[in-house]
Amino acid sequence: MASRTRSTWPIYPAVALLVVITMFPFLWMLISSFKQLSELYTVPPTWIPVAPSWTNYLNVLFESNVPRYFLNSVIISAGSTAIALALAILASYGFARFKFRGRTAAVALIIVGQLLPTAAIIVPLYVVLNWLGLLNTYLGLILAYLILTLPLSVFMLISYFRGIPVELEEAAIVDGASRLGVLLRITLPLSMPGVVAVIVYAFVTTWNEFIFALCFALDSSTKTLPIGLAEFTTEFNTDWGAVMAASVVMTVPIAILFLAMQRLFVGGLTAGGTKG
Amino acid sequence: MRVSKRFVGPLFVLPALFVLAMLVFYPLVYTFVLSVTDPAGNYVGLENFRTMLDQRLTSRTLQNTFVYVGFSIVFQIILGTAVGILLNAKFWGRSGIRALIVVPWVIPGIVAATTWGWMFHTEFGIINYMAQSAGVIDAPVGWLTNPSTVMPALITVNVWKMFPFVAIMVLAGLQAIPEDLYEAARIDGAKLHHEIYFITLRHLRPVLASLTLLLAIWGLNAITIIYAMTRGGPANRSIILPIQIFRQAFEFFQFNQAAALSVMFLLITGVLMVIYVTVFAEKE
Amino acid sequence: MKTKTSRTCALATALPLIMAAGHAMAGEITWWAPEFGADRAEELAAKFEEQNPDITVNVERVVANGLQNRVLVALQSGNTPDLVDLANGWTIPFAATGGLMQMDDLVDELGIDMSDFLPAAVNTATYDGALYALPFRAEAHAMIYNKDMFEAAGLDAESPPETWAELREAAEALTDGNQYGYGIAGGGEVSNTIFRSLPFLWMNGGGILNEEMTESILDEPASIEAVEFYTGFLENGWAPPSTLENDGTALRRLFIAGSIAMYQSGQFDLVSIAEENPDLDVGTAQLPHPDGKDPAVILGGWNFAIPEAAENKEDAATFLAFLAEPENMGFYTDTFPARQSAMDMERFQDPALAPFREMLEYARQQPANENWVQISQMYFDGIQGILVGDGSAEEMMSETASQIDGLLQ
Repeated sequence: MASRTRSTWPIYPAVALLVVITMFPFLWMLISSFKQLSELYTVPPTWIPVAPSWTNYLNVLFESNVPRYFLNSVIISAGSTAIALALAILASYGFARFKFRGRTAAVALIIVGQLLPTAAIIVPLYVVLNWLGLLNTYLGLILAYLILTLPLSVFMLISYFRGIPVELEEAAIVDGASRLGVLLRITLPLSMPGVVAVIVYAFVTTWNEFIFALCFALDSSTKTLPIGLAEFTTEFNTDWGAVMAASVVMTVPIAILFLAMQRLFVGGLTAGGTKG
Repeated sequence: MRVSKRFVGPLFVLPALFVLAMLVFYPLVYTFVLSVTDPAGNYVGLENFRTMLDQRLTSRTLQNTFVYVGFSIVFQIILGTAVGILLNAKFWGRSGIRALIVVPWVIPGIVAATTWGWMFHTEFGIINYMAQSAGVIDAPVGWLTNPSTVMPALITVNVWKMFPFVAIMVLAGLQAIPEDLYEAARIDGAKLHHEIYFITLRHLRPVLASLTLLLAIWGLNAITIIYAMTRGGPANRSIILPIQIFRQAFEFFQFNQAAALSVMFLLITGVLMVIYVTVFAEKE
Repeated sequence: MKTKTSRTCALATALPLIMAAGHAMAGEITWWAPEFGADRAEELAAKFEEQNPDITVNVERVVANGLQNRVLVALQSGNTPDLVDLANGWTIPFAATGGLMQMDDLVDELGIDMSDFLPAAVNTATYDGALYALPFRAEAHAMIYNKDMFEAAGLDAESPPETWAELREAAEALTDGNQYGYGIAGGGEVSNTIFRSLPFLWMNGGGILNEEMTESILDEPASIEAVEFYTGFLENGWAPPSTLENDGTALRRLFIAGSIAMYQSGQFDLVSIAEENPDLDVGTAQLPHPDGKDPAVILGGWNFAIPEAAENKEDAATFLAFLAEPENMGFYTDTFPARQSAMDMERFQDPALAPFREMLEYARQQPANENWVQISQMYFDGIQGILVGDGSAEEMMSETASQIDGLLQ
């Protein structure tokens, strides 16, 4: 049996280094968020805040629009993720399992959607949303974000669906199941890691998006958190402490969400499927 | 009633295509129209392209763009794959670590850029302080303002931000590799690097291939990090194509010239994609 | 040369999709006010609504960063607010797009006395001889310095440098280890460097563009000498090594942290300095000038504008008249009011503000060229080129001048 497992001790130093590299900026952000302005601009920098203060957090949570923007961000990100996921599941299944006329053109359109430089499409997009009466609405931003999330979601799921043996589906089809039924009952449950990856990807992308929100969300009823973050940057006074605190506030829920998804992610559903 | 088999595939694909056509097709066509017209809407042929190509800035931009995207991808893939493999191993606290290392990818680009910009600060930056304390450098380095360090610094941030995504995708790919393959290999006495090369990387190839494509696209499209940290400076040492487009359109109000740049951008990326897909398809 | 008006017409015809916003109603106006003044804007709106119960003012707090882009996008799409604050440097380019309402008749009707306004401020809102916005805020930079550092360096803290030669001497004397004599801007938004360096070119008889705005005069000796003077602070080690990342905010931070002894900024910095480091003994002075010449400075400030496509111009005009009243203008401004009669208000009488007020007399507007943003970017790239050592001031400015000439022909 010993030959079938490898010794694990070299893993720990590598993991420790990894954690330091990935976490350090985050730690520094956290430390800075508890510092008063004068301490932020001190040479040499202090590792532990001399006079740690919740002021920055209190400002963010009670003196700003951040709570409202937080709600907007949640609604817009969740809405856009749900639509992207639904459309992507159908489309990727179509691409992964069927050959049809115009398939190449369809893939090309999706690639183009992913490639289009954001800066180049803001003005025409603004006009389209305006024409549809969707400017400064949740739905407007949700749709605009599909440009960012849908193409990649489709590609991600195509590769997952291809990794699932067709034989499993064929058995079900022989049993008389429809293709949609096969997708929902057999293929999809086996693709959970891919689906979770799409959810996380789409959610994070929309949660963090800045330029579309700046142009298409006109007031506090639709503005998202990154805009709120930018609002701390007033013309003459960048309140870094508050920016850092707001960043922490923005990051924590996403980290928790990811932690919750983690189990699904590593559950080995795919492995189980291929073995089963 | 059953739909004719010929139409099943398109039916699955249609809703997504419809949405994208609405949101992408019109802006795309409009971009092409803008690129060959003047502000009054008259057809001017390739005038806008000529104007942009005549600027010395444009060649520098193209060069920077390739350097930034190219080096970012190389390091993102290498680091991401290594971390993915590492995190697939069994060790104590694994699931916590897996979640933890994703934080860089999860935090908003603006936050990452701001925090790193703050860390790179010449006077108050923690990086200069630590490097000086450790004796690596004698005097503070202006990481973001020194022409020779600005690109490496920005690539570092970009790699730091994106490698966790590569790691997650690699990890997901690894879980699709049947455990028996490894067990069989170990019974045959395979060394660790043999395992990684013959089993892991072989199976990861499709994942890594699509990841490379993805990172190229993201890298080419990403404005946030560079815009927030250097605005393309110092002296245009870090300006990349999307930032030049953004500037031309929204700072200089030259929408037609910006559209010309966008079209060039699309052509360049298009050519790269075609080459890539061709090579990849042949191997497959 | 094509005008921007034709561009907007083209956009209007090319995009027949433009529709009205739909939700704005009579008796309701929307005002885009930058975040930094939005609290005062809301107070003013409440006061106005009290006097005019049939009009509702929706104050839209907008982020100053990127505001210029958003206004541009709004003007081009036709979905605009009824009243918007514009930095004075943007006003003419926006007016040139045809997106702003012409105001001459309106101002007459409302009985606003334009002769009470700072003439240079009115110039920033005048395009083709017509008025397109109403200035409400005006400011000019002056020099801010650390009195304790002056004394520690053996300088007289009560007689700060007045000429370029004196400024260089003082900067050298004040440089010591991690402390630098004079902070210059070389990073951040382009305008930070423009506001801090262009005045030196003007004082010396140089500039970026000639008077007719037909060609660049950056390659003339007077301009090159001034650019050498400005960039020389870094070359001589009298400005901090972080110069290329320093904008106005960073300079203030460095000043508060005691890393620089002198720098140039607007009066708004005094408030933050007093808040963050109350112990700092701050002095203010006029900008140093070449021996025997007058100082010069860029006029900063903000204007109110009504977009051409506004839904409710009538009520917006009523509100504009309210905002133009000296006491309201004096209340709303972060710096000085554009109306001279509002200058008598208590809040503008602080002696530390005197040099800023004096500098207003030497204030000039930035060149009102339709390519100004692009020109200033080229100039900024040239300055950064000198600072990173790409070439001498003469080489870099000659090259920049030829690029700007290419744009102007």
